[in-house]
Amino acid sequence: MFFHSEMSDMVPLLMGLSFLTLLHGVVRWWMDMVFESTFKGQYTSFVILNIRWGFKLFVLSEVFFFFSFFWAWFYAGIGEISVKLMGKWPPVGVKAIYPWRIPFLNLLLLVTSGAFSQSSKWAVKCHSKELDVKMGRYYQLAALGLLLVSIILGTLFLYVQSQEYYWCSYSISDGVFGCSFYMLTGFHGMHVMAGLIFLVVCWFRILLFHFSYRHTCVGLLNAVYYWHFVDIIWIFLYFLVYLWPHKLLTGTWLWTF
Amino acid sequence: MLNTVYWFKRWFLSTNHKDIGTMYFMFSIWSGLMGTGLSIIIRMELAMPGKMLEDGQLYNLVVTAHGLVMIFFLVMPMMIGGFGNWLIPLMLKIPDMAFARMNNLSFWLLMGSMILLLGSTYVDGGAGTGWTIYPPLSSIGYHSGRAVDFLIFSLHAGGVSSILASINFLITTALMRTGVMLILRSSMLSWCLGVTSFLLVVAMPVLAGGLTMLLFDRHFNTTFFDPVGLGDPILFIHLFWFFGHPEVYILILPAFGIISHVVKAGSSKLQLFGKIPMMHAVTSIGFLGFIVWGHHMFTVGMNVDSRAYFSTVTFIIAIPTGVKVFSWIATMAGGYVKNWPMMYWAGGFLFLFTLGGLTGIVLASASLDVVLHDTYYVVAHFHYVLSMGAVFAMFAGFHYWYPLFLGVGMNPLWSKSQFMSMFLGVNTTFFPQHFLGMSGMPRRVQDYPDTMHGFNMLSSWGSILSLMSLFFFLFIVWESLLSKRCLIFPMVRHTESEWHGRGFPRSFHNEAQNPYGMSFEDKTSDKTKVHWGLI
Repeated sequence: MFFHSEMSDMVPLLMGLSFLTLLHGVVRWWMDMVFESTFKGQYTSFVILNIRWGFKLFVLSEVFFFFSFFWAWFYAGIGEISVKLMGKWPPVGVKAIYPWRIPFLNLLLLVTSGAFSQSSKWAVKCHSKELDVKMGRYYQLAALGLLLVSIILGTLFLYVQSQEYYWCSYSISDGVFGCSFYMLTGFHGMHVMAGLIFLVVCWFRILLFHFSYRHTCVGLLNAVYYWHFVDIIWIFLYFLVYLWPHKLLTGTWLWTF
Repeated sequence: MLNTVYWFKRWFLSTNHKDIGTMYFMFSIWSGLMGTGLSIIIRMELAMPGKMLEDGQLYNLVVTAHGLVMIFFLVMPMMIGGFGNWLIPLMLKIPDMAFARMNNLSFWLLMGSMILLLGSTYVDGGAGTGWTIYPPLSSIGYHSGRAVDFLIFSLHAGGVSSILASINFLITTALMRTGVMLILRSSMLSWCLGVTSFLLVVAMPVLAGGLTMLLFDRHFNTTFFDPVGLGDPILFIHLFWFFGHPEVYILILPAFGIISHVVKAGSSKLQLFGKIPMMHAVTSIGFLGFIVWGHHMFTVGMNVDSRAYFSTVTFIIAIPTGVKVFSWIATMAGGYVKNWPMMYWAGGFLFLFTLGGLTGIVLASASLDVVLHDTYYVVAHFHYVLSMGAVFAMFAGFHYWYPLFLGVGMNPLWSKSQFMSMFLGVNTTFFPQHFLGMSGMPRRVQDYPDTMHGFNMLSSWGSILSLMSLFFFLFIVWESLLSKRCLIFPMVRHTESEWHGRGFPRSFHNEAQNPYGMSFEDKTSDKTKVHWGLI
């Protein structure tokens, strides 16, 4: 309704302005953190521990955010609503996506990406422990290469997923199946985007020697942790949202209450 | 010029737990006054049969705003942001919170959340949905303006603020204890706030998810809660109360922490009775709070086995709560109970919170709840545990720690009489509501059958008395700041670590080292060699 009111002409401007303000605040916040850690050296091991565990708690809150959407998915699939759906999930008329093509490709892409990001963590740790400049440089290049592969695979995931969205036979407005599906996969995609931005920033920081000798690499550790979280959500999505409706696991419609 | 810059940096860019705590107090007191005003409008409407407000939507809006303001902008900020921020670093003997800058972000996000809520009351008739915002009333069909969207964004912002603050509290209480401050030696307030924070981190995102679904239903053609697209409004009710029940424990657990401190200090005791069982009780209340949400939904048509389960688990929560109440009474036993205003509030809490808990047990029975759901009996129950539980605990903590925060004292005689009038006021307001509920008066109604006039009138008179008591309280605070009777001797035992330094903490951050000791006597891993002493 807001978009049809008398102020509708200003909406894009206002949204743009507020988004830029948010972006500015967010960028300056994390810039401050980079300055305090890498340049001023204020991050003691104590502080780093706090930041790592604080980030894990944040990821816990994200897990419960997805929990609410999975709740909606199962409420419709096997819960109260499934009675009205006559136990059919996806509902009659909705064609489930064949899980062994694009979704499986996406699964492989993300899992491989996760593996590469994990190994870049190893490379960066060696890079930050290395006293010898030449060896340190080699580890840096290794880290850059591994993380780049991880980022490329993640970007490919987004591209493939966007193609799937484009070609999918059902939309977000197609009943409770469509809206739960797109809410889950859509928010997952947004988290992939955020995780990718985090990884890209870390990539540039490795390039600029922010994680070199005796500098903390907590930024990368958190980025990779987030990336693993995104990966695990996709694994859950794959089994529960793609594979299950295609009845491949059970060979039959799942029982209803 | 420099003074202005200094002032701006101090109050807008603070990283000081004391300044942020002070800002939270001012914000929450202001919001509490606003929430009280809204409650007076409700009671004025209900004082006589017939309608006072022409517009039913306005009445619904007032009811909604009253609930949201009191919960999200009075109780939570004061307990967690106010008391928590001020006291946790002092009690744990650490310089500041773990994420001092993010602490400030949490406060200012809350300010934004309040602005969005106020905005929602101004646009397009406001959100007259009740604080529970159930669809389809909150969907685009029945609230087609922008007000519910403002409300959704307000709760999103408030949610982010709470989650960040909770992460801060959890990391501070779990990881920033140094030296001899073992986890079981943390103060009761730290422990309760730690459990509260965990509840917030886990429950708040579920509300965020439900709100996002509501937003999408309103604007993006989804049908999560619309039967036309095979959605179900009951899904929202599940999601809301999965958050909502931990939320009410979030409101009361810090109160438990505050009362533990007040009762211990006010009984001149060195230790709380059974502190470790109390800590376990708090943890179990927190955990059990996640698996009882169905007791808010006994009338939606759930199957009987689920109702039986939810009833049973809700009854079980009474057990750890009972452990706590008995422990507090045992703490008072055999001690010299000080004649301080804070003890009046604490005593009031013990009695009235217990009463509220008992009516909660009545409501926990699924069969009784079918008669009492959405009646004034429920309103009476939660106002007893909130208005007389949480709010009394806030008053008790405020009276106890006011000299620590401000260095001046409130007139104790006036404070005790203010307690008496407030006690009379809130009881007069809410006790008759039990009878109204039993006789079938529904919630959130603008008018009622003439036979219910008597108790409604009595309840409204009580609310006026509470309002006057609140004004008296404001006068007492104002007079104390004017008269500046400075703190000289805190007169609490040395076990209350926040009062160290004769009750005058440092202006900004605290000492870098734990003055009790930075290491154990024996550095081996064999804990039995550690001198436990007073835990």
